[in-house]
Amino acid sequence: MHFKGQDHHAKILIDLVDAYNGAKRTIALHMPTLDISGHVTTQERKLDVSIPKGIKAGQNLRLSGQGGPGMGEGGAGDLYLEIDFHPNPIYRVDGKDVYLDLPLAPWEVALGTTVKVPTPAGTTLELTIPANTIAGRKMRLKGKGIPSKEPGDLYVVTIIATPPADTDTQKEAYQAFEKAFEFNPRTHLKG
Amino acid sequence: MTQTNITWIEGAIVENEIHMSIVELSQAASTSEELIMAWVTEGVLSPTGSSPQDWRFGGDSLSRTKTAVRLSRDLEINTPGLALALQLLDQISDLRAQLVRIASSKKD
Repeated sequence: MHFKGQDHHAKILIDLVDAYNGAKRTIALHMPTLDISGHVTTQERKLDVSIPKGIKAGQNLRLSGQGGPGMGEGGAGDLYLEIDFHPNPIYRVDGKDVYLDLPLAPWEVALGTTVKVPTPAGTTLELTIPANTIAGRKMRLKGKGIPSKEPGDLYVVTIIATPPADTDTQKEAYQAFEKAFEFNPRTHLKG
Repeated sequence: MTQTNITWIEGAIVENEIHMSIVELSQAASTSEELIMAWVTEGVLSPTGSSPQDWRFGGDSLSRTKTAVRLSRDLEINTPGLALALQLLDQISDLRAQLVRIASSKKD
């Protein structure tokens, strides 16, 4: 009698940077096994796994022959690792596209500037912010998303960060700002 | 000084690189080939190939089959109900993805 061993499934969390660059990770799996008296116990099994570049959340990595033992010449089953990403404080992921909120000072969006933007791959890009950029503007960095044959894009979304007015000088600066513009941000509310 | 050589196990990304036969899919998703055939007939799964022996399941077939197994086993949903449930889950997933995109461009 020859039977292939059972396929096993586990879920692992990786960092987004691992999907960009590939990674090597040692993972510990807790496998149910039968002891001598026939009771089910869990046994820790460590595996050194190469995480391929370009893998996305929700995808499965098949490790051939790493599942349950087979019977006779049936061969061992396979181990399927379902991939998910650790929550990332900077980036949001949508399939192969990645989003980054980029805070900018009011003068930076008004006058334009060049800023350094970190990428999940660990590199830094220089991004030109044109003058009069509005909050919520989405700038696409083509091909800078999760790598694959057709790589995803990295979207940089502008948000405006206003500094608090704590000192007299800072308050005066805001007052001068107010005087220089006839600006009502609530015209659409007709209030 | 001892040097430890680690052999890193290389895996294949199921959704990109693997096209499973019905036997492999049935083993990987712990379900019967008969049930997989019924799900193909109902449009829950869409393999390439003309007959069950030639069928090749690619893309998200494995995760879809695992979801189908859970729904049919845990909730005892029949095959037409399963097709509807998976269609609705697909729509929820699409809408969630749209939300991420909209949240990032709401002020465009």
